[in-house]
Amino acid sequence: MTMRFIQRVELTSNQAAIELTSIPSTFTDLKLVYSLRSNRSDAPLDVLFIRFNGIDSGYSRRQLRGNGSSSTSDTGDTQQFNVYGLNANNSTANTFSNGELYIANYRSSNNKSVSIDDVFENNATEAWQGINAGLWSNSAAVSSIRLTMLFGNSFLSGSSATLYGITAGSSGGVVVS
Amino acid sequence: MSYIALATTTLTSPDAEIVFSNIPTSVNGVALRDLVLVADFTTATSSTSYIFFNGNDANVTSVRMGGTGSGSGYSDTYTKIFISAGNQTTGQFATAQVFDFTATDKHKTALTRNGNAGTLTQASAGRWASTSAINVLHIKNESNTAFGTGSTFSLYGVA
Repeated sequence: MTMRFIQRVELTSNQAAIELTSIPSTFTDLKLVYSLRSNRSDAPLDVLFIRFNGIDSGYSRRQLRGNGSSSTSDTGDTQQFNVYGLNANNSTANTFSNGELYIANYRSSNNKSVSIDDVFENNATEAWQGINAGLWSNSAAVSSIRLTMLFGNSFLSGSSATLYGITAGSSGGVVVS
Repeated sequence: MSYIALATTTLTSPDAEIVFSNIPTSVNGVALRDLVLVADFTTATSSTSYIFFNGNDANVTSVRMGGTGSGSGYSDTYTKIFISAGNQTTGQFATAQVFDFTATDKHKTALTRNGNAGTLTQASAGRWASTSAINVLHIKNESNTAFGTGSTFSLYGVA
């Protein structure tokens, strides 16, 4: 099977960050799937921060998001990928945001292209879905991924992040030219 | 759902068209349902890139939405299945999933995502109005300019 499970973090108590470390250098691409909720209590929405290798520079992204009645596009931070699709603790109860982060060629010495799709669910007037194109301008292989947030100070119990590795290769007699 | 790696290439010289041919309907007895293409463009080209099937780039309709980093975004229609916009620069990345590619009783549909952190993010949905099973997948750009050395293209089958 080309897509293999690497590791999963699922919180049984509130925690300030979720970190996936010691990512093996045996795959071609990485896919991170997450389900998160922040403890921010004064608003339904928080902002997810994503960093690689503990480094706080070299990030850029463009985002398009919509809420069912309008859409907006913006650019992101340079210190991390900032994604506007994080459920906070003032959103509908028991509702977690969903997202998927894909890193192509994470071991390459080139800069890393990243795609992030996310949704902030809420049974109220404010809910968002977003698509993001990101770039981490760094030649290092991605060896860890750290998730934190802007407004709250912890992810709630039940938040999870699962990391998969995808390996390119050949089979079935397909010819590429 | 499992991914099966079918073929991959990293360009050692510029190439104006990438072709995955002889795509099977099954691998080691496992029937394939969808195709997934992952493309990582390393150098700049100036033209929209797209995929088409079995040597036939006609009879395609698609809708696209995107954001450039300001304003409210855009949406339009097109006659090809996008995998990237024009003015590609280093760091553009694309995925495309083609559904039920072996079916002979339906048109073929695809969802694509692509983007470049310095320019835009996009998503599109396209349909090839053909009931033929897909056994060849092509990647080109509209001006027939070459994809740069170091660009990678990987094809997966989804069981």
